[in-house]
Amino acid sequence: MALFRRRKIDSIPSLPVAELRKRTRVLVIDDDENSFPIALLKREGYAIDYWPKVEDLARLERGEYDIIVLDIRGVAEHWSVDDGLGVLEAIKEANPAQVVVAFSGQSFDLSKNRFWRLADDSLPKPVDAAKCKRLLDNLMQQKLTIRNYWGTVSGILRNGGVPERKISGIEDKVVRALERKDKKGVTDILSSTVENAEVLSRLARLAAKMAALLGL
Amino acid sequence: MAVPLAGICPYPTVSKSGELADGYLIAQPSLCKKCKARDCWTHASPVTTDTLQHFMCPKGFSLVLVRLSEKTLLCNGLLVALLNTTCPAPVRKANKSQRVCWQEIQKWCGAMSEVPRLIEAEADRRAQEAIVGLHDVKTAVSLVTRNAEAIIAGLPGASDEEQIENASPALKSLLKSVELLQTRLSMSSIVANPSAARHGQRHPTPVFKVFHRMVRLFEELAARRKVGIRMFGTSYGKPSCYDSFDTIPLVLIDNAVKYSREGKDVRVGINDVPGNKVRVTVESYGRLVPEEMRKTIFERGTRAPVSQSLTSQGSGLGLWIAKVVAEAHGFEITYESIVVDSPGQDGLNVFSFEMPFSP
Repeated sequence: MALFRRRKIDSIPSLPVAELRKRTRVLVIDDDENSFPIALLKREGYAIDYWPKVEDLARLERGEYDIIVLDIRGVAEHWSVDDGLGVLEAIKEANPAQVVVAFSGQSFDLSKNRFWRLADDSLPKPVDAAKCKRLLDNLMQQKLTIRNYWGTVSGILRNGGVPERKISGIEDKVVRALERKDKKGVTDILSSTVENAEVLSRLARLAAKMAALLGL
Repeated sequence: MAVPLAGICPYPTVSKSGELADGYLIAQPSLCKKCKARDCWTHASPVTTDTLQHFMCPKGFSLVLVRLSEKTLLCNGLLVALLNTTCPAPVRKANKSQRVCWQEIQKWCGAMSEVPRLIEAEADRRAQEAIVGLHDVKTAVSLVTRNAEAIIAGLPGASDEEQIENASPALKSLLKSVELLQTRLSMSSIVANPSAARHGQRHPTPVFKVFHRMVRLFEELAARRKVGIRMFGTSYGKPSCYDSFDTIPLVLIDNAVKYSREGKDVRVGINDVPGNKVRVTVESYGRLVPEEMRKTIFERGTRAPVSQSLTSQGSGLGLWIAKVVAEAHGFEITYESIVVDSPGQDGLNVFSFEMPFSP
């Protein structure tokens, strides 16, 4: 009987923090390269990229990075009159699940409150490395987990009218594909569930995230 | 006592006590100066709430009651064209210099009513300018932090904790100062934008550890003031806190050290208590907050005379910031004084609060 029991996403063991640090792609966007301890965190195993300005909004909207640490000022004047806030709004509209950390020294500015509210978490400048590590590790352990990604996937399926029983079956297939390290298999399973192109692309992104988290 | 507005009024004015003042355009007429009655105010009882009201004095002069903001001014010794029709001809002839038209008074009054708004706007502009300057300070502190971290990274040790442990006392002291500076800067943001106390997500926070870290930051400063800091209690609770929570131990310990008597200990107690709560008390021995100020010490800008006499430092903002942060977390900080020696003198100033493990 046990052979036919449906697999649950919770059966996939969570990764140790050191491994999560390596596999989570972090992007820091800030015109001041000294404001975030990039070099130090890289030495500690974090996978961090740095942009002094928003170089390619499409890449951010596509969810190429797991965590975006975004400054509010001087990073996107060429793109939006609202600078960092405009970028944050665009990212959240295109990809609500994208984790963005509001990173700014402008916490005193009443007109910027929306920036802090819209972000998933915040880091008011100046910050030390310990605080940055605490925040990134927390986000990785809470938001960037297979379980969390699956939660988003099942939510999308549910909203698309897929019955619970079918979702449970899809979960079983996804878990089995992940266990046999079949990245393409995960994408194919999710792609077969819907026809809407936009939803399909979101599911493909989430499949890629789950696979990346397991090093596939 | 003369009304302050009288100093910038173009017309002669009289205070409620009968004190006369010249305007910068029109002076007091000699008849008013000689007047024994000086009962102008009794003839100017307001009948409406209008900004400007015209009355007559028994000598035949116009009295103009001016309401500006919360101040009331009475202009006397005037001959207001068209409104003053009962002034005896000889008085009118002898006091041509007192003539003024109602529109001119209205114009001055209109300009004056704009003054408070303009002053407020200017004050806001200057405050914003000062605060914007903070951004540059924060940038500089970031640079100092990165340099300090680079030095630490070059020290022996498998982790940054070990490396800090291996740092020289001077470097450790520098790191503590930088950390203190960072927390103080976040306090300044809350002053300008109280909603900054709610920025970010709430995270499970080991309260004992946060206070312990702050105690370490203040140890050096306290030692210079010959004050000790002792921690006691047991707490494993991790209430859910915003980043701003750090400002509460900073304010309470900073104040306790600042206003403590030399040779005494500041005692910081943190205990888990029934009801899944953590209870924090910060006690210091020194002059007690006067009875009449105990209700207002958490209000913005309040500084007890005792604190002013003990140190010139302090803006009266610390406890207000702590209150704002506590409110953001849904609890209240209370103050209690415990008389130890003779009443009204030294004793224990105790600040305490309780917060649930989960909000």
